[in-house]
Amino acid sequence: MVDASVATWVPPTWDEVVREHSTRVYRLAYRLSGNPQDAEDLTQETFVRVFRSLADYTPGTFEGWLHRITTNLFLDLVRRRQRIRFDALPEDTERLPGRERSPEQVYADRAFDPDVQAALDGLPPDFRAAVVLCDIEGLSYEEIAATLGIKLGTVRSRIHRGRVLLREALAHRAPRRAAASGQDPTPATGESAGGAS
Amino acid sequence: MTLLDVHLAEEALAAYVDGVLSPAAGERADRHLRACAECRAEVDAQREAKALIAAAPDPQLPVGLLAKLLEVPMTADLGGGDRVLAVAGDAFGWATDPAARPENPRLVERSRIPAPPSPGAAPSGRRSGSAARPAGASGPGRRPRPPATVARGADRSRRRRRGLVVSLAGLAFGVIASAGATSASGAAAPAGPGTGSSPAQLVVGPSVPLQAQTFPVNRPDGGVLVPAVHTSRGR
Repeated sequence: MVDASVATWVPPTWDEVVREHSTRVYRLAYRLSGNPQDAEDLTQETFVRVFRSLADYTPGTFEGWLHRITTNLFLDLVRRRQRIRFDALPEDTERLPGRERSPEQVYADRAFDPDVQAALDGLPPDFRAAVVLCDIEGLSYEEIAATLGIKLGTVRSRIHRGRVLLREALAHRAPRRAAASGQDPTPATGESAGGAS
Repeated sequence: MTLLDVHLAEEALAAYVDGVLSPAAGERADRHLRACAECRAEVDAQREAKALIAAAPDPQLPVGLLAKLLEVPMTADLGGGDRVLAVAGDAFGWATDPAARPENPRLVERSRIPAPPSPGAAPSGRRSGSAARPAGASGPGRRPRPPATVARGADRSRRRRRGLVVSLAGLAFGVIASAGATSASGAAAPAGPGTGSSPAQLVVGPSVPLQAQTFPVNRPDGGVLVPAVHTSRGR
């Protein structure tokens, strides 16, 4: 962990970097953006940035680094789209002709819980980022605060509010508890109230 | 004022569910929760939401994306900067990659994720060696060049040719870069003079500067091997 190990540290090959981290980056990008196209773009852009600044990489921070880049690229994208809505949509002359999704991809998208994603998509992007980083990526509140550049208290309240909204959006997926019912806070069991889309 | 009078703050609720309250605060929350069904329901809702998203299956990496990511070194840093590299960049024909992602018509600004730094991205000094990279290098496939119109059927040969060109470009770059490295001037790439303030320098090619890190790049299609990429840590 100190200088000696840094001296002997063997940097990973790009191949290793990509294979080890691409799934996680894509997952984060997908959860944040809510669709495979954006997720792919974000993932690619993240790795481009990673490659350009590999020299600054120090062992042990790779995941946090990737989270930060991906999340901030996503938030940039959201802001840019919010801006662009007020302008005339520019002609995207460079757009390629349509490419079909592969059957595998269609299947993967379906297998990937669309309910949950729709609920996530319904969150304000800032809340979504906090919740995804916490509940999917497993970051600590401190890490989330650093990633998003916000205070710990803000992290907590965004996670809380994000979950409240998610829970409402996914009410059909878990038995609704009557507020103030006095029940034990045991995990919801069964899917008696679920099933419907 | 009793504990029941003051419900748990929303920040406390989230932190309680995630088990990150301080021991004292956690104890207070426990006491309150024992007596307050309302807050218990809030805690339950937090837990349920957390469980639901955590349980959702992971999206799978799209077919072809892995290959594109593996090729990033060839697109991200050889996309331009001098004539040789520009030629190589033109030869890439990225948009014709057979594994190209599906186009989303809603993404009118898809090609406009900017190269300049954003939060978490590289500060300026790190792009020496490619500082004058055209905006098109901000992402593979984002700025299709003229060859983009080539039909997919030609991709395989194109990819091989591309690999060859990259290799040659890499060699040329390496020669230039090693000259720059040995003279310690850092002026490796004609357009990207790495001055003393530059923390790092990307060197592509056979030169191995001191403290080099190697990032060998294997062609995902099993084709041409591109010369290893070295980044020297200048600090």
